[in-house]
Amino acid sequence: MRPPVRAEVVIVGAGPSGSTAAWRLSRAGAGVVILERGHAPHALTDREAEMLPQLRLGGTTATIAPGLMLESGTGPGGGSTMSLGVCQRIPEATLRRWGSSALIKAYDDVEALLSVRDIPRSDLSRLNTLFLQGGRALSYRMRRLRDNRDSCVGAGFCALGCARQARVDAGRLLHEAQQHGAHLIQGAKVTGLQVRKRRIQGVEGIADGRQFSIKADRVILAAGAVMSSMLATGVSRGAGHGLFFHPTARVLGLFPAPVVGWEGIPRSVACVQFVDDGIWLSPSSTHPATLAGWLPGSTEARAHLLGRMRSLALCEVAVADSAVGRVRSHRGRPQVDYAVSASARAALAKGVTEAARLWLAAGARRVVIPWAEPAILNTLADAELLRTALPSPEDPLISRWPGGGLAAVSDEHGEIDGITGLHAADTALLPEATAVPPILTAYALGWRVAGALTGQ
Amino acid sequence: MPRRALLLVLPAGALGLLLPRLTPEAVLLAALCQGLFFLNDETIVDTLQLGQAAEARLDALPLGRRLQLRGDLRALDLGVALLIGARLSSGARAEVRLALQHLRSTARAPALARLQELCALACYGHPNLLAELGYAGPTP
Repeated sequence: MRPPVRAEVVIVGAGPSGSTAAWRLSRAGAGVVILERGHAPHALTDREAEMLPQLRLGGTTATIAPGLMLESGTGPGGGSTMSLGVCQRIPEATLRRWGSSALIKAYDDVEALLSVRDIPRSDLSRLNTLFLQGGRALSYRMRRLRDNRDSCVGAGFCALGCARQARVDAGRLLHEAQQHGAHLIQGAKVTGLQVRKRRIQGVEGIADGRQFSIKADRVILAAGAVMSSMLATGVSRGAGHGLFFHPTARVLGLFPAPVVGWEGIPRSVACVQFVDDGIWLSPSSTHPATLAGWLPGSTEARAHLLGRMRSLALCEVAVADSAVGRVRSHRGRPQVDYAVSASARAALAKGVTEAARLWLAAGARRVVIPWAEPAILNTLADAELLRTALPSPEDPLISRWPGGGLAAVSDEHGEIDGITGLHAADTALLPEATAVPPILTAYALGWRVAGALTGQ
Repeated sequence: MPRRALLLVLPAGALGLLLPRLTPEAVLLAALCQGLFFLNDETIVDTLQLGQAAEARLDALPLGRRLQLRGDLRALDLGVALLIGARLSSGARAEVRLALQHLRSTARAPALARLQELCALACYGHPNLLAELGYAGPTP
């Protein structure tokens, strides 16, 4: 479909925040055009080699910061298509400190919209049960999580796009928005914003190899913190600063009995003992290609460990980094300037230690830390040695949950730098990292900004 | 088929894609660490003892140099695994080349990770291998 020449509202990005904004605006009668640079997958096959290249933007996006990798979803649904479905709120005390109390009501609304529920105890997989047992053995505070599944059969392929469409996610909101008149244009990459006399005029970009331009009185940036901030740098000097991440490490437990870590809901519990220190611990699934994609060592060493993959349990350690980065546009691609801070490296060392202790307390025979120089631990005493073993710049840390980049130049309605009609509606609006999975917040921000535009 | 046997039939051009990106020392260590020794582009001799000696030598190096060499080893190992493990599409081959080009840049760690990911996606999609791992794969 070719983009139209004029729209009432243009939304850039069809992920959680863009889809939610489209849902609310189209119901209010606004003429909405959603521009999404990716395409919907040809089919949802549950196969890693087929799904990951279709669901992730450019595979792994290298940055100019050594040791850091970014992962972004692409296509209709964006990051929600490959998310594990965790729906957690940022604590109210944090929102009040930010002056963002309005988000509390938005959370209420989107939780109802997404049918967010407490994950039932009966749905805990073997992986999550072991994680819970390990935490309880150490007297850590553990939490059963909330999600947006409504017809889950526990197949465990959430991160590969749910072929059973068992969750109320951005893809479903998008579909409903289209039923209310919103137009979704796939394969449309926005390359610039048109601003005149501090008022938005529209957007320009490329679709099907041809340039396009759409005139609009309202433009909502909802392409994720990195991309939204990068686009805004073209019209706002302050945009792109204050970008933050959650560097994430992994800890594997090798158990004497099968865990089958790829079956069932991958993440239904978390350890919140260290959230105040900016550390979030939670289990994650272990499909073979993804696992082989980050295990260290030679092909033979990886094959050796993969031969035991039925007995492997994975914990991810995400830490809130206080260091801020910057995103710029380099030939239309994001160039991120960010280095993991010393305090985040120390937090990672602590988180990895605690995750190792947790797996050992749950009965793991051995724990493997897949640093560039792998650490193999057999006892709780071994785990204590990790506390001072900070990750090195060669360790491939995944960056999760990007945010910021537009917080300092946006008002309470997401309007950017006083440019009339130009709004952000995604995690670019967040002022700091919180060690809380941000996808529910992305939905809530889309909801709140759309509400402000419709006077609700 | 054992990987070493497969290496014997690697065309010189395939190794040529990988070797110029690496230091001579890394290539030697890579070969030794895997119990392999390249006499020339087409002949490989299995020498486990040499491999153990190379590991000891690697462990004696300063941490920074050791990490860099281990990265080079991984790149060589992954590149070889990719080239022999799967029939790559032209797009995937282009990605391999891009990742190799970045190995000397500041984006070295992401380039290595990308190479490994490409390797994993190519190798661990084969039904026989998945069945061997006990991975059920897609379910109804």
